[in-house]
Amino acid sequence: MAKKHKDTVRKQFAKTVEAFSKYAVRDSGDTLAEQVEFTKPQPADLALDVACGPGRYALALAPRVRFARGIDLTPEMLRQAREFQRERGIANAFFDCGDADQLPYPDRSFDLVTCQYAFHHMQKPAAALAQMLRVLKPAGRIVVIDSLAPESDRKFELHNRIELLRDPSHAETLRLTSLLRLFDELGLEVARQSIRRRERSFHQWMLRAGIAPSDPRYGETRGLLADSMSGDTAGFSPKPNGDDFKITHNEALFLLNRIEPTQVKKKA
Amino acid sequence: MAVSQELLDILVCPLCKAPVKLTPDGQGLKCTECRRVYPIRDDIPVMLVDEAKIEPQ
Repeated sequence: MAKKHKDTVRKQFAKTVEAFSKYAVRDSGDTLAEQVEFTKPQPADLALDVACGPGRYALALAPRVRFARGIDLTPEMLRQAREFQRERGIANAFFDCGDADQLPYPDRSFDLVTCQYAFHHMQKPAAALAQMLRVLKPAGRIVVIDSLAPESDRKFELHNRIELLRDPSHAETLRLTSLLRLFDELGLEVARQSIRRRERSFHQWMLRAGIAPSDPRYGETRGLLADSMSGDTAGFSPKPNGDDFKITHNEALFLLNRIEPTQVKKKA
Repeated sequence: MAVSQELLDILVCPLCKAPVKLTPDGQGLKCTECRRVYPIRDDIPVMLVDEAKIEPQ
């Protein structure tokens, strides 16, 4: 990631740590449980969550694995993660501050490496995924969870423009086809995948990014969304709901395995 | 909560991937190769190259 964009990410998350932690935790109890089930953590796993934010996923994994580690670029998020950890009395979790492009762990260290809702903040998700693969044990599993952008160029462009207007630390939400290509290029095969539609309140979504209705960006983002209704030109399927809108994100969960050279031979 | 040795053992320098050792004052982690010292703040190791200082020896 370029340093300037990383600074933007840190600034955005330092500013919104409270709102983000509050809404992320409040909004997502069921979703979190679903994600943990999808991951199928094993008692012997050493797990790593890359770009862990306030640690909700790492802390949810911890009771189900031998050890859960989280790493994030923003110190404020990690302090919040440590606080959640203390509140819940979880002993087998640990948090480091670091960069997804330069993970401070030896090769082949973890059984399970996860990254949730973070690729869209990265300018080079391929570099992060390559690092995740580097620190993964040979028979380890990778879990990637993120929103999906629409496939068509015009919808893709407007979708990402709206995301960026809401959150300056947004880089690019990827298409399903781009993610699958990326996995393939790095020698990963999809063992399991699940795509779901998540409906949420536009208002809550803005608050989570630290944008109150008094902020000019609130009205601007709302305007672009309203304009996109006819023909759903940004792929958010916005629906008026009183003073608010309901918007929908398509989210994908992937469980990935390394394609072993022997497996490739067998297939051929 | 102090930082335990067991949890530090898995950390390496993000640049040269060499092991890091806790400094005598317990405030940093020093790379055994490039001598960068990564600070520990609020019990959280800060493993960012930009935040590290290179010690003369």
